[in-house]
Amino acid sequence: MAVRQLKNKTSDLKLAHRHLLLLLLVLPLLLALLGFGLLQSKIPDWPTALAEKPRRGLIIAADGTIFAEGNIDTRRYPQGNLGAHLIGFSGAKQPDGRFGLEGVEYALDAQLQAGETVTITINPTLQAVAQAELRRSVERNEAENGAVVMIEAGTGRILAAASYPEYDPNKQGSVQNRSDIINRAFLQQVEPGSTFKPLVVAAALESGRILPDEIFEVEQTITVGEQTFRDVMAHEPLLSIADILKYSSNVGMIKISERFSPVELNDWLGAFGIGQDMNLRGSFTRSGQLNSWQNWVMQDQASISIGQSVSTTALQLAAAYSIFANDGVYIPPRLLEDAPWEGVRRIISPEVARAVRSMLVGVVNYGGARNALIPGVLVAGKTGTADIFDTTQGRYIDGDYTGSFAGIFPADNPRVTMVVYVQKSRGKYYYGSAVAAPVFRAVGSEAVALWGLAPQAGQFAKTP
Amino acid sequence: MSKYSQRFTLIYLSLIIVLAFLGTQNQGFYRQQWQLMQDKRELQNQLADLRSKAAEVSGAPAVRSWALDSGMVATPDGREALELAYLAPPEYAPWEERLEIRTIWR
Repeated sequence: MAVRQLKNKTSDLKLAHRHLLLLLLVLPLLLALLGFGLLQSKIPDWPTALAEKPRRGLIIAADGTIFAEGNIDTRRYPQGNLGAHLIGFSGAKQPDGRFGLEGVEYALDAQLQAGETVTITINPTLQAVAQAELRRSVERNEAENGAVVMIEAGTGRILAAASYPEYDPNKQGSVQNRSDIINRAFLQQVEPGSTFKPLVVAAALESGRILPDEIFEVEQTITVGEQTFRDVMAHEPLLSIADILKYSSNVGMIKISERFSPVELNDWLGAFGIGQDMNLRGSFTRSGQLNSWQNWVMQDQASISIGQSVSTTALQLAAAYSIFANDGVYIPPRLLEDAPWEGVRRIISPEVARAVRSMLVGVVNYGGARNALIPGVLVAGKTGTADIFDTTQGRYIDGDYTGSFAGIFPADNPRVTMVVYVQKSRGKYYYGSAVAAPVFRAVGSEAVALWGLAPQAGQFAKTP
Repeated sequence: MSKYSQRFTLIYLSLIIVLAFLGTQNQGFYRQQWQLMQDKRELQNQLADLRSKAAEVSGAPAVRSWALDSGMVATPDGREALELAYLAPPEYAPWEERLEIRTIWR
């Protein structure tokens, strides 16, 4: 009824009034639309909602040093190239929804997108020392690349992980050679050479294949299958196990490895983490390469015992050496402060771990690794110089070597395990004792200074 | 225009005015908050820039370089350092060989 009355009344309106009414109805709407249009043109980045989205999380060190901050469009890396290979960088959204493109930024992208702060175990001071000393060695020896990994004994915390060449993640778009951004410390697989020998010795001692006081008859050469292996250093014909390590005798190591069947040696190396996934939270790692023992030819076992025909990453080798530092317990490396304690297991007895450590002290003090001596503290370690296998050519390259050093200090109360390698030196020297051991010494010296470790009596006298 | 039409028109216009007022107010708040968010973002960017600049002069690599340039030697290498003192000691100045006596009369 009311509607009909309204219709009748409306029909009474004159045409002019109808137009006026229509104008009054439509004009405000048009004005409103125009107003919104103008407002929108003034605000280029029109927010869909005023509620702020979570900002991308920070990446910081335990001491509060900020390695990455800012939202995805304004992401910054205040420390520049310090720890760049670990931190990585982020960029445009990827098809899988990630913004992180490398390193922690990639591996923990979901956590960072949710606004969570990621705390890494890196010590910025030690990281700076490791990077600077590695850079110095690579440049001085005209080498191509290198890596350093430093792991805290007892916790597995990665204190430093340096790779060379370096880059600045703030300018990653302008990096000419993209291989510069590779985190070589975690991803580059290298044949460890003689630094591998203590692992085989430890396995042989633990399994009872050799006795600690056993004497071996060691010639200067030995032929296994179609390959002849030689010792670089001249030595007496009868060597103890400690002497075999001290002289880095390939022949002696091959004789020790012959006490194992292929499957036994394979299993022991697997227990040390060689060829195994590291399950490191916060970064990608490679597992190294240990060919299946069923495919080994006669000389393969001999080659593996001297650290050839097998490859590891620097992180992997440092983790394996940590077993000696941790009195026989494998503590998986940790990059995140809140990483769960998983995978801790005993590999060898404390007695064997200490015996190997003691032999490695002899290698440093009386063998060919005196360049690694850190005045004031006992150092246990082993040098290595390995041929480089070119996977594209399928053969070892003449004149290209990996010079490495793996060690522990202080050897009597281990605090740190460190692995250093420098590849393809074109300078005067390429041996591990010349290109890698000095880096170990320099970084170790500053770590000792940083921690204020008390020097031990008599140790200064052993400085070369 | 009939009475009904006039009433409806007035009600409609009143509502439009209220709506326009509320809309204007709302847009004002909206723009203000948007501006605050922009300011916050700008300040955060400035903070990040300043952190980067601070790291260039007081970050771990910069401090180490400065220390080495200033003659720092890591403790374990200290005993091998030839020059332990950065500055030379002051020159020897002998005592003046004369006697000065002051007498005060009271």
